[in-house]
Amino acid sequence: MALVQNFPFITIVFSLTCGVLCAVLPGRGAKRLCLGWLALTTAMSGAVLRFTLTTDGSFLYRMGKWGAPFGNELRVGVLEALMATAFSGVMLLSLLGGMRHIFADCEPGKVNLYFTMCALLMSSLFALIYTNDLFTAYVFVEINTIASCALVMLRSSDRTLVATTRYLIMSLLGSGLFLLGIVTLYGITGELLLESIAEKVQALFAAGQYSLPLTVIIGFFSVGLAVKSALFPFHSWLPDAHGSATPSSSAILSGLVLKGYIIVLIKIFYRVFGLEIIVSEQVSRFLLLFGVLAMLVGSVNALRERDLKRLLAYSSVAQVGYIYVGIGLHSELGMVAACVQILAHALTKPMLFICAGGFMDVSGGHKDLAAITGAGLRDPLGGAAFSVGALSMMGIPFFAGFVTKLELARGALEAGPVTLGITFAALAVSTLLNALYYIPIVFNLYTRPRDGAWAGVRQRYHWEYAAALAAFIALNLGFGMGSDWVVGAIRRGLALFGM
Amino acid sequence: MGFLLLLPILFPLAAALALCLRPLRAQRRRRAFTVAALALELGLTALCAALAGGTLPLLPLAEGLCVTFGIDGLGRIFSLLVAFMWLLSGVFTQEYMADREHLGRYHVFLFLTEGALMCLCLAANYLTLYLGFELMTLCSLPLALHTQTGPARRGGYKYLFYSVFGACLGLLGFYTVHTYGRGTAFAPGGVLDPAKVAGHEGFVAAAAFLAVVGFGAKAGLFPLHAWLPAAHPEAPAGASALLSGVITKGGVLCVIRVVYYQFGAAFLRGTWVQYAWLALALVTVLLGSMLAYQEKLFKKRLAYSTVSQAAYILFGLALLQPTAFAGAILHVVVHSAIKDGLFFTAGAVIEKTGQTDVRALRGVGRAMPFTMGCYTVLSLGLIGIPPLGGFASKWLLAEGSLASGIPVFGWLGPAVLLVSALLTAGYLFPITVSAFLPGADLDGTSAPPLEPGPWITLPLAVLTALTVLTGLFPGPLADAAAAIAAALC
Amino acid sequence: MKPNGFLAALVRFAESGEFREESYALPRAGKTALDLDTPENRWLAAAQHAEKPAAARFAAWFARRGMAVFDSLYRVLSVLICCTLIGVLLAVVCFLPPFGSAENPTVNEVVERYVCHTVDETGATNAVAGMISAYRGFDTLGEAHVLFVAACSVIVLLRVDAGARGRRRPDPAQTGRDMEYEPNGDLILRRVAGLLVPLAFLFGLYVVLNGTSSPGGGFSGGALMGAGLILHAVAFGFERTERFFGDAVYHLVKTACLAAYALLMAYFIYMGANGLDDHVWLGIPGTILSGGLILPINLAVGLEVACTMYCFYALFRKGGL
Repeated sequence: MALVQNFPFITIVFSLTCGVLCAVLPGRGAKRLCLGWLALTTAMSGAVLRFTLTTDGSFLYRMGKWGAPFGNELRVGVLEALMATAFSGVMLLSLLGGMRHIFADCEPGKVNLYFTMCALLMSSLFALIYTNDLFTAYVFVEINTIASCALVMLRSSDRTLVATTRYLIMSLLGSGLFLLGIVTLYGITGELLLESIAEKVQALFAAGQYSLPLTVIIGFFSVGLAVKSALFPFHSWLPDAHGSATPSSSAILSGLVLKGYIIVLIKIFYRVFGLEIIVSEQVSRFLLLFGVLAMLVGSVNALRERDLKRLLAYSSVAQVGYIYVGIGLHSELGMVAACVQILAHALTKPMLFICAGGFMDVSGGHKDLAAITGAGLRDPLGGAAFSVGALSMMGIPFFAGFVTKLELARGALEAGPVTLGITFAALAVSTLLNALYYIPIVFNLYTRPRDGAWAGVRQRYHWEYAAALAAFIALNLGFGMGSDWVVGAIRRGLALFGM
Repeated sequence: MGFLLLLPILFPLAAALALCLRPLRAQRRRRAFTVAALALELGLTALCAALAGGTLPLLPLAEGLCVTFGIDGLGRIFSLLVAFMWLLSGVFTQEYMADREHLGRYHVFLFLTEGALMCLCLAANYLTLYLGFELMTLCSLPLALHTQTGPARRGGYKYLFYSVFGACLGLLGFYTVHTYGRGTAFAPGGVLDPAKVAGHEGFVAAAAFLAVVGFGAKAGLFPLHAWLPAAHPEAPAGASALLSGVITKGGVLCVIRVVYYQFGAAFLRGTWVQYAWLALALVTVLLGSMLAYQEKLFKKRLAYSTVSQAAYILFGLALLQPTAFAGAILHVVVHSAIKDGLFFTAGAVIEKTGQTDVRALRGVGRAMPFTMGCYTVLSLGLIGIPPLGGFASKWLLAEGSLASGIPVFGWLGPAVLLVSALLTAGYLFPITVSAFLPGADLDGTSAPPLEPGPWITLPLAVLTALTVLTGLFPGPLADAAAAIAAALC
Repeated sequence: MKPNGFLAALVRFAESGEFREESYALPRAGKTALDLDTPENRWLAAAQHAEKPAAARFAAWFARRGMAVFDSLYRVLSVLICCTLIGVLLAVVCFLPPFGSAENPTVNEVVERYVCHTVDETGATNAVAGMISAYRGFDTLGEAHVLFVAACSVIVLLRVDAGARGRRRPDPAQTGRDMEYEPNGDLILRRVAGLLVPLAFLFGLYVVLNGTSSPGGGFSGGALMGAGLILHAVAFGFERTERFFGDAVYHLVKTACLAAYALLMAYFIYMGANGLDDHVWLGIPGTILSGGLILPINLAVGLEVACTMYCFYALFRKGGL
């Protein structure tokens, strides 16, 4: 076994330790430890990705002496390694970009806990990506939930407290349904490792046994994870939580945490049940319908918003809808589109939130749309990054968002006429609505305020903020222009995923 | 000589960047720079049209999708048109907007839009066309809402809304061609693969129709025409001229490329798509003329006139017939020249007199004889009086319509065109009449001379001369258009 | 109409303290007569921003009547949804295999392996301990960190740092909260606690150490030790407790235990995954020194749980350790 193959497990376990250590270090020390560790995990995940690409296979990693079904296992393939690298890099850049706000928004004695939560969140994201076991997924979903609630809460204000409470309650509801699903599934199959469950489930379906429990289990998994990833109509917690947190938290929550749960859902659909069963249970129709509604409702709500960060949060609701539309197309191309959107959104939305933080800096701490007039002139790099993000959200070629639309359209063209019509109509209207609220903001950014407010204020570029934004812009453009490679890797990864 | 194709596209972008980095505050420097840059762009375009050939794949975006540029007869005509009109509008703007604010920003986006339009004209596949279309919308939006008043912003966002929606519909066409065709590069006669299309004709036809409607939104095809009357009155006259005269032709070019070079005239001939398109075009012709007739705001009247005249072009294209195609191309050039001239006139008159209502322009002919004289000639051209430009194009359109053999529209088309010509006279002529012959009660001798300076009158003169010339010698242009049409229909 | 209990109480708490953030106001769930003259009212602000009079009229109507309608609908719907969920669960249970039957799917080779081979593979006679700490040790590592992250979250929420921006220690006399309350030296409590606390620690330690051979283990033993700590703090006061268990000790113990647990687990997993022999002495089954790595893991988990329990108590009681 090559050393590289140990990296996934190392990233999970030692991220936990990094979090524990950060809790006892002072603020600056915790920051250095966390950032250094995140850089290391990005490098390690990149090495794993290269390994899986060159050996062109996925490997199983026994967590201990005993393999499946007695012990725990990790499953590492191209898709998982790609997601891990991307998530780790995005978290690093999000932390870098919002570093000043972290130190300004959190109480000085609790800044180190911020980095603890980030490290634990990273660990749980890695675990959700790599795990091959349902119960491990549940344990790390718990860590994910609590850590992300803490990330919102660390910015101490009345608004974040109420938002966190709502987020926690709804998230625990989702976890509860997920756990009920796991428990019931264990009750009728007796297995917890995904492949073992898959065998038993196929046998049960073939024999026609336990049909009601199986349907209900699929429902529990879908609803539980949909609540946690803010699918319409379970999205009401998202605008408050993401809109009131510190910019780094909003970036991480929007870009990464939501996607972690969707990856678990994709795993369950692909490896436990298999696409044929999912199709026959009509689950994908509901996901498609709710995805389309999410695209529309999210954008319509964003149009009404006057607060920049809440507007970006509603935009996230719409973008999560794209992912569910891709899943709901229940074809291989649809899943490819969903994974592409996971990556594209993870690259774009954190950048937008970091820019929002930068705009707040040059607008006296205000974040409503009227206050950030002219912020693009006062903060050129932030304005450029926001423009890139806005064009990407609209789906202009050369940017990441266009690749998503392309792949979704390809997936839709394979489906039946009704699905095709609905998907295309939703894509068109959603692009339109995106343009309607992003373009005016971009113009607003570059218009000098009439009353000359904050005229002489200029953004003081700390290297962290500038480096993060530059990296985000480069990644976005790179993804938009070099998507061939990524889409090919995703296809290969998905082919291995189902084995 | 592939890299020659990039010159007309990159040069305006470089000029915009230069203006961004070093904003020229001094009026003389800015004027000199702008005019020199636009003239150089015209020269580069002519060079490219004369010498360039082949295609230039520039940026591969995904497998099978590459941003590619190329030039053919159609591209030559449109790119030269764009460069020429841009030069004239640039000259006009120097004096027209001499005392307005934010001129630097205006000029930057002027150059950017020109670059985007060149990208559109020199596109060699659907992806590049779509890219140019989107960029054109985004870059021209700041021109449309330049004054940033409430109505200007509303008009601008309406423009954005309709254009982006049109682009989405066009994108649907792109996906369809990509899936059911042999690639998305432009080939005369279409790229659809009969084997793949078999069984899906209904869907492909629907996608073609939606793409036509979507790209036609830029040209003001009913029902997506409402942005024109909203955006034009608020934009500065130079920008209105470009929006009406040139950017609408960008939409027309997209429609031509999609119909003739991607789906193929043979696929669409005789289908419900053609009939629906013809119907929409004729409805727009009548609708635009009638709305212009009863409109009292000068610039809004000209905007409705654009809606109507652009529909002429789309009608000619919908006939899928060589003569009509030639007439459509001719009308593209002629209408562009005439409408630009009319907007220049309107801008000059509104600027000098401060009146936006046509009923208040009595006697202005005495104060601005040259301007109104040009206006008269241009209106005659638009109405279609021989030997001016509009006559040749409308004649070819009518001839093509009658020769096409399409059941109802064959004779309905010319009838509608005739009615519309009468309405055009009805909304353009009264202005001339009341300007020069205000009535006995108005004392014309004491009118102060309001004639604008040479920066405005020179472009006007050029456009008027162009109208007359295309009327007297339509041959070269019509022959070039017919040559293109022969390969397509 | 009664306000929606918990959420309204939370809102009152949030807005009573020093956390107020300007330019934000939360519409109170359950309140019907909203004061439209207050500029902070969100719906009024929306109405003012609305350009169309129809939208403004709707926003004003919603502010007046809409919340009442929503409230009544909310109660009905919430009961309905809960009943539906209960019904679904009951229906599923009817179809599940009967509890304890030998033909259940859960009785398969996995369970057989655990029951039959725990002793020789893990060295623990307590199959549950072997299962959670050895066979599925990674999950337990995750659970231990769930406890950790929960404790950290409570610290974030409740700990009052000296001189923290925007917060100050509330005066007990003023707010009526007895965060600074120290016991007045009740004799009976102290005597009894003096007997019970050492017993609690001893018994907790016993449960932890004997986790491999009898029911018990890190979690249960840790809870007992934590209970002992809490009893000590209640009876003798925080000052005396902090002499041997203060902030520094808490952090030290917690970090050391979790780090040790993670390192042990990492070693174990690495060796196992790479097919190497981990040279862990499995001990003598049935005695304290058995179970291989399970013993130190139990110890670490026990100490960690004890710290967590005390930490929760101290944070709720006085906002810090």
